[in-house]
Amino acid sequence: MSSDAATEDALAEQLERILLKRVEADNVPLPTLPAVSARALHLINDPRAQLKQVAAAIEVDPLLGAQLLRLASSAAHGGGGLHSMEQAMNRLGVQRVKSLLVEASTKKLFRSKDERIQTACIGLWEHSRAVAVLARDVAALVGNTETEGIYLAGLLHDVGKPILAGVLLEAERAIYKPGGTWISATSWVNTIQKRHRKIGVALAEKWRLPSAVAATIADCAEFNPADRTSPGNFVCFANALSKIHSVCPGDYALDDAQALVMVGRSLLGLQDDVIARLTDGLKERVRVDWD
Amino acid sequence: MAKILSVDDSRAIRAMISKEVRALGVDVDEAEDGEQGLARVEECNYDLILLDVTMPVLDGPGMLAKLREMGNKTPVVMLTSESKKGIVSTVMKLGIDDYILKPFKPDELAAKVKKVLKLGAGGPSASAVVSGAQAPVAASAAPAPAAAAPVQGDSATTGRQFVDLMVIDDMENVAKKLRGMIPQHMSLGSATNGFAAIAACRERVYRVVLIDFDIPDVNCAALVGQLRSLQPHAAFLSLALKTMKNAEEDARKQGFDGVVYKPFDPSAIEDFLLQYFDNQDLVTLEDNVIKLGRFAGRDDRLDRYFQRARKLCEDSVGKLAAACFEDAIVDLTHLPPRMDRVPSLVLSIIKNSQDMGLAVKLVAPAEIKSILASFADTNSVPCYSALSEAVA
Repeated sequence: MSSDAATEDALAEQLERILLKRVEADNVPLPTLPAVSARALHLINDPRAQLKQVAAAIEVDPLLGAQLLRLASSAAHGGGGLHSMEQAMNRLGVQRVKSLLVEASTKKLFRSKDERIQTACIGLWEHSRAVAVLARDVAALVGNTETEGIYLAGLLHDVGKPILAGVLLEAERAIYKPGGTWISATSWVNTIQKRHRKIGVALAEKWRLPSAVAATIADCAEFNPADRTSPGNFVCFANALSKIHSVCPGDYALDDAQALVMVGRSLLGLQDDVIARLTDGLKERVRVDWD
Repeated sequence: MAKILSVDDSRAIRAMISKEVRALGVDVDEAEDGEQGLARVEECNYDLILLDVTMPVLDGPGMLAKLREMGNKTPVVMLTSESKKGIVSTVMKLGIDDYILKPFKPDELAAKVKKVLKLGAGGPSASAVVSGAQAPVAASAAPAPAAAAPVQGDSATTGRQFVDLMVIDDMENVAKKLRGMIPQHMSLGSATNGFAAIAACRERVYRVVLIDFDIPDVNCAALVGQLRSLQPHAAFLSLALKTMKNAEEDARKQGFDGVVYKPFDPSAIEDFLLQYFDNQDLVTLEDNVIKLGRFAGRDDRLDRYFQRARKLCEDSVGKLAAACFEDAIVDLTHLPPRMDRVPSLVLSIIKNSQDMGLAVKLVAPAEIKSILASFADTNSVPCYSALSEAVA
């Protein structure tokens, strides 16, 4: 091993120690749910609140409002002819609106002023969307009705990564000496890979998302054969499927992903042609414009 | 004729595989561990090996590694209850053609065998699910979760009687007490010792099995393990005393899916029935009045309540149309006033009714009226405060 590599390893280890200490001490700053989404979600869950109040809460954020109107006006939801946010919400349904509010809030976590993190985050967000879409589609295919919850779990399964990336960057800056060595992107990814789930679970709990979402983030690394249609199984399968279709940034164990897809096909009773249809054009479907 | 080698330490599984594979017109040899499997391979050329992972003497990955070391390239399909990515990834590297997770459906076995052997399309074999150890049990079109309801007619096709509940408790009164608290139409079996329980589980298919946590001279964890292999789709719940500390945690350690406390509390039993049987009288139909029942379970089951209500209302509207009624009165008096769920349910009822040519009148308390009034699509539907007003 070269001396540069040894120094880098030592730096990576030092960073991981700092990170681990902060994770164990629950000292990782978790972002709060943006105020507009928090208010709207609160109103949706309040039986006394009226739809127009929810609509008014969403309209406070014009960008969010425009996203909802755009989706509700899409061909999939009946095309144009919408005159108000209330009509858009009626068309989308409350569960879909809830998912959109969480999705819009989560997307903000995948943005960073740091160029290195931002580059990684774009790929990670597209991967998260791919997992969410695939998990929801597979769940619907095998008759699971909790598809919106599964979509959210897929979307959030890696949400701990950008949060940890920010913490890691902060730690790296603290120990970096001018002229010294920076750790490689691989070491970054590996360090984050090991610790991100705990942070993802904590965020889901802080945002008061359904308990199944947090449980799925925690348990989606392996299949649970005792409960074939558990949300974690759909997310686990979708995660592996998106990896073997290269909709995932960084280094990952392709062998493990292929093994999980092979097991998942049998576990969920999916035929190859169905999987091919589900993944057709996946990369293009989840590509995001960072407006 | 193509020839397959089935390597599995379970005689029941080997017998089931042989039966299914022979039905495809393929010859089968059997071996009960990896060492026997290698000996068979040395004696005969096979077109396919169906290989279990966990076996005594020499396990599946061990046999596969030796097979490939010998330069033998016979196609291998793993047939196992092992789903850990590390293990499956290892055997994939050694060279496998496919993978089947136990318990499996014979249709899946037939399809994968035919694919590897490049056999033409043939009729599917018997559609039963094969358990990890014994006889066929109920099947469903989609992969079924624990305690999933078998599809209609399953018990007839498998030859095993379907029973809703099984109570295993050395005190006979426990089953009697529960019998008095569950709806009449539900079936309940009972056993007072482990031997009787195993015998019953061999003969019948249960949806939920309740086992006393403390049966004298019975190792609870071992009993649950044995019964699970006979009833792979049943939910297993522990019967524990209310005073027992850490009952939930202990039950999970012993292999249970949850706990039901003794003596039985009516609301807890109702909750249990809702969770495992969806058995609330959610929707009743009298003349042209569709009445929605109360939601009595925990909040996390509310989604299921609304889904069931939606489906049952749809069925009821269909019945009213078939009986030539011109309108449907939907009584929402007991509906939980949830803004995120009520409009969607009501919209679905309105749409179904319109499709069937029925007018809709609603009966609802003020809270529900207020929710419906805030939606453009529901605020114009006639809504009354009392059933008598709607009927008049």
